[in-house]
Amino acid sequence: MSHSITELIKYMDRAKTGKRVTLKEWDYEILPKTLKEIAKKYGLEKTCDPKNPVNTDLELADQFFKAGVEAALRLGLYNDDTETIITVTEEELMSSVEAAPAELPIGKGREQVVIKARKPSDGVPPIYGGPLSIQMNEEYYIPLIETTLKSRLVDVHEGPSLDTVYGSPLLANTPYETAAGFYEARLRKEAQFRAGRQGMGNMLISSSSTEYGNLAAFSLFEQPQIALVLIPSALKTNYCSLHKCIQTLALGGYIESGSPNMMGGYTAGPECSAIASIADDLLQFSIHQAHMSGAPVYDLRYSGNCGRHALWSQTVSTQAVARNTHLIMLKTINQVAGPCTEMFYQESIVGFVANSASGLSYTIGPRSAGGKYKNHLTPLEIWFTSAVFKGAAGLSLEKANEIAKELIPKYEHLHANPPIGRSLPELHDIKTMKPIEEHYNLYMKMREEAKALGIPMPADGVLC
Amino acid sequence: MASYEELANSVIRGNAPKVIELTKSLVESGCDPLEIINQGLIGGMNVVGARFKVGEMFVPEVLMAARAMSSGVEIVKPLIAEGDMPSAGKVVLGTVKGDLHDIGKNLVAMMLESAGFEVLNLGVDISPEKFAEAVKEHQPDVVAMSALLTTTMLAMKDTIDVLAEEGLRDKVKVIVGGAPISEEFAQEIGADGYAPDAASATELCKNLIGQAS
Repeated sequence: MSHSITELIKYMDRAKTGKRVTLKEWDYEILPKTLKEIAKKYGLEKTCDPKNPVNTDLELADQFFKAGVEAALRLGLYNDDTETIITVTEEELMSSVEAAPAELPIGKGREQVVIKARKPSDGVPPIYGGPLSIQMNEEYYIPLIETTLKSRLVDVHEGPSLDTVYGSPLLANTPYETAAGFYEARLRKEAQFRAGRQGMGNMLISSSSTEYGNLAAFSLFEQPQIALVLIPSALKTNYCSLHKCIQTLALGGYIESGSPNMMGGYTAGPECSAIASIADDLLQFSIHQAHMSGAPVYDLRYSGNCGRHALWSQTVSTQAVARNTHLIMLKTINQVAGPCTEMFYQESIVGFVANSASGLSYTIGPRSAGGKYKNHLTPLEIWFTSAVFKGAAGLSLEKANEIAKELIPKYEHLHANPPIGRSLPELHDIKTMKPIEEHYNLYMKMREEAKALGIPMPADGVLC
Repeated sequence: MASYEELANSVIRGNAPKVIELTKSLVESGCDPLEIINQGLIGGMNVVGARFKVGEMFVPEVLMAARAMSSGVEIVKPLIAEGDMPSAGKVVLGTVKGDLHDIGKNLVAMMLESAGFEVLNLGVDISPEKFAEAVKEHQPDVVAMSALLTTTMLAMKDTIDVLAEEGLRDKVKVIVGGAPISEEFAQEIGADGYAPDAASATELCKNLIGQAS
């Protein structure tokens, strides 16, 4: 049975009786050693080919899938709060994967979209949620979202996030988070109304990562909406995540859960990180009773995934799950360059084409300027990334690889010190939301460059 | 006779049994224990740190190398007078209040220890008051704070403020890091430095301690 609180409680009970290991043992011994053993067993060591950053060998992807299944069964998820391992049996893992939905309708009336499982080179366009949870001043929230949602390239509403509530700093694990849940939900409704997008689907909630904000926001929307259950790190869970899963199931929402796998961290190189990502995807459907998973791969060196190694790792793991299951996957594509920079657009073309062609169902974006700089987010980056993601539907993996090989050399030397670009008030008149000429011209130029690379670019419906 | 180069290479490979064998051999041959540490053990770890920084080695390999180095240090340590034990400096480290994420912080701890720093890892969800207590008790050269969430990064400024209120701010250097942190944010809250990754944090500590002395 899928998506049931009783099933979820069964796994929570297992956290009380599961094998007890310290966090250090898990991070330093169990996780890396198991992944390494599995990579060796399936002949996957040193299969990453950085000269071809988008994997095109689908038999290799299938081999990775087998390794990922074994990793899921041997590892399970580590619960940070109980310091125990929650394991699943093969039958539980496979039955939860089998029972997972291949389609999820979200939104009402003309705002309804259906998030569908996809295959590599699938001709059905993927779904785009935006913008990502980048920090934004309270006063910019409504102008940014009203303008952004005027484009139908944005199917589902996610961010941005606030760092203040009614002017007071939003502090973690305090009632400010509950207040932020209600507050952001109201701002969302107002902005969606102004944009004429009432009834559109939401991912809740951007300004609070805990169960406090989740519960507050969910109470203000008609269901189903999507809860963002971001687990602490690869192949882990905790009580905060489990709280959010229970709340979401009880309220009739959809659970999206998973965590970035940090390549270069405990999950080691691109091959082991791909195996961990697949295992992470699979385990969400049993232990968290998820409706969709989210286990991207980030390169620890620059916290992004538009460089060669992370892109290869994310494409091979996405292809593995897409080819061998009907699971809906959400993976983020992380740029490090900021708004109104050529590098941002180049990273975006590479990342969104590669992931769309690999069979990704859904993404939320963009992470302009690595998500580090407040107000570094504008509608133009959101529309551009969605157009590329959707336009790349049906492209072959070989074509995606060709595009990556052409563009990556133009920016990879800047990963350590990327241009952060400019902020929303520097690039738009906040009253009219009109972009400055330089910003508009670069956007239009990069759309033409994307088309010249062979990517059909759907119009944004606002500027073009 | 074993050489320092062989010892360093065994550290790089994370081969603890070999490191133990070579360290014992060098000690028995009458080599200076400080040279064994500096040229062999820390020498190997310096290479590991550099390779980690450019992505040629990953955390599990760094960890194995660090453990191999420690197994060698344990043999040599009793032969060195306490005050002569090389230390690059002392660092108090923790994830700030409200934040339970520790991957970045633990990586920084590991890289610092490997580079010869004495590290007091306070853990996660550390309040400004706990940081201040640790500074009073251990008198570190550097306080290093980590945060992953935009809702917790504000606790970094609170910690700096408490250090100032307690009259401790001028006695330590403060560095910050974590996914939402930037150089600009570090400057805004009055930190002495920002490190984008674990390897850079080690260099930053070395530079700050060098400047202070």
